[in-house]
Amino acid sequence: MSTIVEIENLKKTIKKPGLRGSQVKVLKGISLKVETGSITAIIGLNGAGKSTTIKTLLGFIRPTSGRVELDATACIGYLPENPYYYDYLTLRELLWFSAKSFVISGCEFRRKAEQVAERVGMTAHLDQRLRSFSKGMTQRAGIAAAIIHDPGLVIFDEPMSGLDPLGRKMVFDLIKDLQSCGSTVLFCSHILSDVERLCDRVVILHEGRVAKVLSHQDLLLAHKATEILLHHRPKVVDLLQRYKLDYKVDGALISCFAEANRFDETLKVLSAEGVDIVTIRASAATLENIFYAIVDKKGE
Amino acid sequence: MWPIAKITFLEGFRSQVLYGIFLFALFVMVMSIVFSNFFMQDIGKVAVDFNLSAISFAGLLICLSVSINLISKDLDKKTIHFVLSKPISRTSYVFGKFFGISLIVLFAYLILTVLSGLVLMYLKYDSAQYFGMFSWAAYLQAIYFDLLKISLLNGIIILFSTVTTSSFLTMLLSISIYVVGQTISAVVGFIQLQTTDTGFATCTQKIIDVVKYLVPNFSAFDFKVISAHGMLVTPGEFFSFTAYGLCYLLLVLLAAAGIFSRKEFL
Repeated sequence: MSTIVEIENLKKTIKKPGLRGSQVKVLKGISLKVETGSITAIIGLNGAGKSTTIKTLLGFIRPTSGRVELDATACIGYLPENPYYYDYLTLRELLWFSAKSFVISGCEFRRKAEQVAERVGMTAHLDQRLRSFSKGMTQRAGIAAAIIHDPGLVIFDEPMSGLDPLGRKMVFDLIKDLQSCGSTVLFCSHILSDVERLCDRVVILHEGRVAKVLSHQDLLLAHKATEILLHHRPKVVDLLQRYKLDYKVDGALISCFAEANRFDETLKVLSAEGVDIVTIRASAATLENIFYAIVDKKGE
Repeated sequence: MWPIAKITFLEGFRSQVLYGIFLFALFVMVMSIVFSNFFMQDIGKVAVDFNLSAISFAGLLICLSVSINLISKDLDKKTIHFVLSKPISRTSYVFGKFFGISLIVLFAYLILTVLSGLVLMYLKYDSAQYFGMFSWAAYLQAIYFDLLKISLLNGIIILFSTVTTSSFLTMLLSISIYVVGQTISAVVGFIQLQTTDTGFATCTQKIIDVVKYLVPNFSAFDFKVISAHGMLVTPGEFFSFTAYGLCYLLLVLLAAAGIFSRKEFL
């Protein structure tokens, strides 16, 4: 499968506002590839570098170092985070602007405008001014403007933000439809359950670095993993980190997740190091567990 | 560039602030009917000056409210991310914004010219004996140069919008340049009149010399008094002032496009 986006060792340092603003390393060497036709999600805590990665990809900001490559033939559709459009324009005019930028003719535009407005449930609001839209409606308008030209690469920054459950389902189905029509979708989201169900690949960013890349297969395997409960000791944490095992600190206990093919090996390591096992149980490991295991290690 | 210009025009022309400015200008124009009667013998000149001032002030208000808002809001509210994700170059964005704003100003001037024309026609009908010197050509000439001045100011606003991130700073810098540009020729004239004993320090003169070449001479586009006397500039002057304004404007817009191309949008 060909690669549509390739990011290699991307670093970005930003100066904080003010005359004596200190330098902040927002991205600390991010590398990732997005394959053509796939659905890839970037997840992470606020400030992890998700939006900065996307903005660098789109050329809004320049990388301090590293390489960002985008398939030159790819036509991009982008939905910004918390979109804000022109107050006095109607949805139809916003869509016209989007379509006209991609040289879509008047006839084609009229057909496409009706089509995308229907797709995002905004047909009744086509001639309404954007200033009267709620947050969810603005989000839907932004999605329509991002896809009106049938982009080859769709980049959504928090597409489900501000949407009601029906809206979330609409975005979910839309992303699936876009993929089935041959588009590549790259998006950021905090709704992990949707990400887990939708994506071919999940990139977890943490503190400006890629903490983990999970394929759909990895996620399926994770569901079949076993959870080993251990007492929380610094020695245990060191050991789990050394053997690159997924774990989650939960007060006085640590949950260690061992995939089926590494279960025996994990048990051997733990007994060899003299770690007391509290209990072993079938894990209901989800992307959420894995995500928390990576980002939430305050208890260490 | 056209899509940017069109949405800028639509967004600006539907702004409620613009209608407020129209109402204010119309009020001043109507008041000119009352006030010009206070100046016996000069009713014609005062009425022309009053109406041209109303148009000029309305143009300035459009620049400082509508134009600044149209560009700064794109940056403040991050609408720029949506715009630049389209295949639109940053230079096209700058020029598109300028043309969109220029269209708003052009339409506003057309409306204001018609309104002030109606007021003047009424006054001319009412007090024809005081309008002996009045010339429509001179009146339109003053409006044309004022439009050129406002376009130049719009270019400067766009330049400052690309440099700063705050609309307040853009407004402050633009007003400063406007005030300096309006007064610089008077200051230069004043310095030249001073004798060596009472004259300015050499460094002050040098600073003023630099400022004179950096800041556009806005007062050069002020033809209100000439117009009030029904006088026309020579074709040579007409073309040289036009060329001065357009060249300056082009330089300002190219500088803005250059800065904007290097700007990062976090």
